[in-house]
Order: sequence, then structure tokens, then C-alpha cells
Amino acid sequence: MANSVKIAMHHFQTIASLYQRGLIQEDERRELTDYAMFGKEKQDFHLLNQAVENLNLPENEKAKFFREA
Amino acid sequence: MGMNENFLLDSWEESKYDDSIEGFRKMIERMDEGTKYIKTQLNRVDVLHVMNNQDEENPGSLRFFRFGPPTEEGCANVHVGGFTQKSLLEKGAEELVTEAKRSNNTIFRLMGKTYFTDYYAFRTLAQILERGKEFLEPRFSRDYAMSIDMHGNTYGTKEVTFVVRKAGDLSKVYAVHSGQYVPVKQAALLEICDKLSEYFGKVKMNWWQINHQFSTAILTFPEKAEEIADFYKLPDKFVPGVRICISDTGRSSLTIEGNWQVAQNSYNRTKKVSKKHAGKNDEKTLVQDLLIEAEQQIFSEFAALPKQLSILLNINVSDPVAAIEETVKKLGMGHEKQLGIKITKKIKEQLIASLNPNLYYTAYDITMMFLSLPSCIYGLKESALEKLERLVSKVPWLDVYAATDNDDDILIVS
Repeated sequence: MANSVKIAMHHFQTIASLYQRGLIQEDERRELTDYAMFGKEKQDFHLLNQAVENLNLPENEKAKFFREA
Repeated sequence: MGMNENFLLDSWEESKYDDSIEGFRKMIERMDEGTKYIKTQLNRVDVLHVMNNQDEENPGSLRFFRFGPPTEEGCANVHVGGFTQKSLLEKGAEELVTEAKRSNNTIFRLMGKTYFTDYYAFRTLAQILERGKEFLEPRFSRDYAMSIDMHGNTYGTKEVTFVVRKAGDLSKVYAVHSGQYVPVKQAALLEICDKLSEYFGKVKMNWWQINHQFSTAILTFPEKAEEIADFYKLPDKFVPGVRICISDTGRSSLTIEGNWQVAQNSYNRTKKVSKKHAGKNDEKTLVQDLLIEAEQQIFSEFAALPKQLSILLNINVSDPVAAIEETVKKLGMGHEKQLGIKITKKIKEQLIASLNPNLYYTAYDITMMFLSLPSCIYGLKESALEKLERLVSKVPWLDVYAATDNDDDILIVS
């Protein structure tokens, strides 16, 4: 699979997992999904990364977003 | 034009400067024949995303990602699939396949049938899924998240109306409206044309354009124009008319807009009335209601402009430069939401340069200079030209000229 597809799926799976475990609310899930959907070309996901940074999440959960998919 | 595969391409368009209404009529009828409205629930629609990596040796084939139903975690399994070259090319889909690979990466499957998608179909689907304008970008991530939404609890059971056009065995989705959407056949425009002749006698087609976003036509009423010329004895010919428009892809309501053809191709837009494609009213009622509104707001004013111009004809202007400057100022032409300072400055300079110091000008002459502008200015974008057409139509009604005691000596109020 292309790298961009792997990264997109990694992001969506991470968001779904956070929501499933009650670590983020519905509105936060939607915001993150929006940013994950529209990362700019060349995998520039700075808006997603910024939104994740602003969330009240344990550091190890935040790190999952930044890990290479 | 046959309804071949090219008809389904996003870029398909027919337009013509045409005296007769017949070409327009035929094309509208063909559009209606080729359009179907499919009501369904979002969760019955499967989403396929055309892959960037394709089988170069089989250019007519198509590889895609297929999204499974959402898992309990709210993700989806992604499978790889493909259409064979034979299955698509036998249907003559070569151009559509190229378009799907290049710019329209999403394909829908519904009840075992394949639907290509128009790039702008996602403008309407975005409203249903409450997404922003970025939703137009046909990325893998857009289609993945869209598929999960379409099969999830929040949106999955929503009733929607797909606007589909067909050519042979090929189908393409051009818009996704809500379940309440009331399809209005484009033939509504033909019905309006027929009704207009009951009001105005001969209806002359001037120009028409049909594409997947809009169908529009400019019609004029020559018999009414002769009546005006006979009654008001104005030095120029003024032909009243309308611009009619319909869209089944969410770009426009069913609309009638008043028009004055001033110079050969100078159109000044007046008032606009429109009806949305929603609610309980059927097509016939919609057209009837629209014509009643047009009669009250547009047709009733067709006598007002020539009457006003005949008043302006009797006003002498002592300082035409000041009159032009004052008109531009009162129109608010230079406002950033109108034409902007740069274009306005150019227009003003050109108008002033065209004045002949050896001539006397009336308020009518100055007004005509403005009314003719849309046909004299080249290189404007379509949206700017539309603004110009709307702006100049206000010129006859501006309070620029104030009469003094002596009707021969009119001052400019600044």
C-alpha cells in the first residue's frame, strides 16, 4: 500500500481507539478526523498534530500519532 | 449530440448564440432523458477509491480500494479490488476511467451497479455529512472517513437523493441531495419559455448554455421592444428579456432574472426571483408560483426603465466629467466586494476619455455610456462582468441629477 494510505489508516485507527476507550469525546473525534482527512500533500499533518497536542491526553497516547505508520 | 460517454465527463458543456429556441429545447429534453433521481439510504452505498498505482499494461482497467463496514472501533477494513479492462471498455468507459484516475477518484456501488462520480458531487454530499469545503479533495483519507460516516449510526440511515446521469450502460453521480429534495425536470425552463410568449408575444432566444452544473438561457422579447420604441421614442433600442436558470446539482434554484439588452451584447440585470427545489410543491406549481412572482417583480417594471430614460433625455448635463465621477461614486463600483479600485479607475478613465468636448451631453447620454459598458469591456472575469451588469442597471435610478428652476440648466450634485 502507498505510504499516504498507511498513514491515513494509522491516524483513523488511532482516533477510533482513543474514542472507543473514552479518552476523547465525540466533538474531539470529529475534529481530529477532519484534520486527518485533509493533511496536506507530502503528509503534512501539522493541524492534526497541533490538535493532538492541545488535547488532555497521556503523552504515550499522543506519541502514537507521531509514530511512523 | 448523442448521449455518448463524453456527455458524462465533468467538462461536458454545450452553449450557443442561437436565434431559435429549438436547439435549446432538444438539449434540455436530452438532459432530462439522461437524468435519473435515485432515493436511497447512505448505508446502502459502497465507496471505492481509485488507486494512484494502476496497471499500466491495461490502461482501461481500474484498481481501487474498497472499504468494508465500520468495525466496533469505528474503523474500516480496506480491501483491494479492480474492474477488468473488458468489463469497463465494453461499456465504452475509456474517458471516464481516465477521469477517475486523474481527478475523480471516487466510485459508488449501489444495488450491484457502478456509479462514477463528478468532482462537484461532493459539494452536496459534504452538506449532508456536515463537512467543509476541503471535502471536495478526492483523497484516500476523504473516502475512508466518508465511507465510515456513510455506514455509521449518525448518517447511515439518512435518506438521500442521488442525481444520476446515464449514457448507455454508464452512470455517474452529479449530486447527493437530502431525501426531501424535490426533483424538478429541466423542462421547467421550456415551460417558462412557452408561458413567456403568452405575456410578451414572440420570445427570441439569444444565448444558451447547458452543463452538469447549470442550464441557463437569455431570452428577449422583440415585440415588447417595438412597443417601447414606439411609445417612448428613445434614440436607442431597448429590448426587455429574462435570463432563466435551473440546476439539479445544487448550484441554483429555478430562477428568472430580468434583463435589458442595451447594445448588441450588453445585458443589464434587474430583479431576480427564484424557487428552491424542496417542499411539497410539484413542478407545475413551482413554475406557476415563480411566474406570478416574476410578473409582480420583473415584468411589471419593464415599462419603468424606458419611462425613466425618457425623463433623463430632457436633462442637460453641464459637467459630464463630474457626472461620470458622481455616478461611479454613487454606484459604489470601487468597493472591494464590487469591482475594486483598480478596475473602477480604469473604467472611469476610459469613460471620461471617450467624452467629446465639442458635444452637449444629456443625463440620458451619460446613463447610456454606463448601460453599454458590459459589451465594451473586455477581459473581465465572468463574476466581475456579472457584478458590472448588476451595477450599471442601477444607473438610471441614481440620484445624480438635480433639476433647477430652469430645466435647461441642470447641475451635478456632488
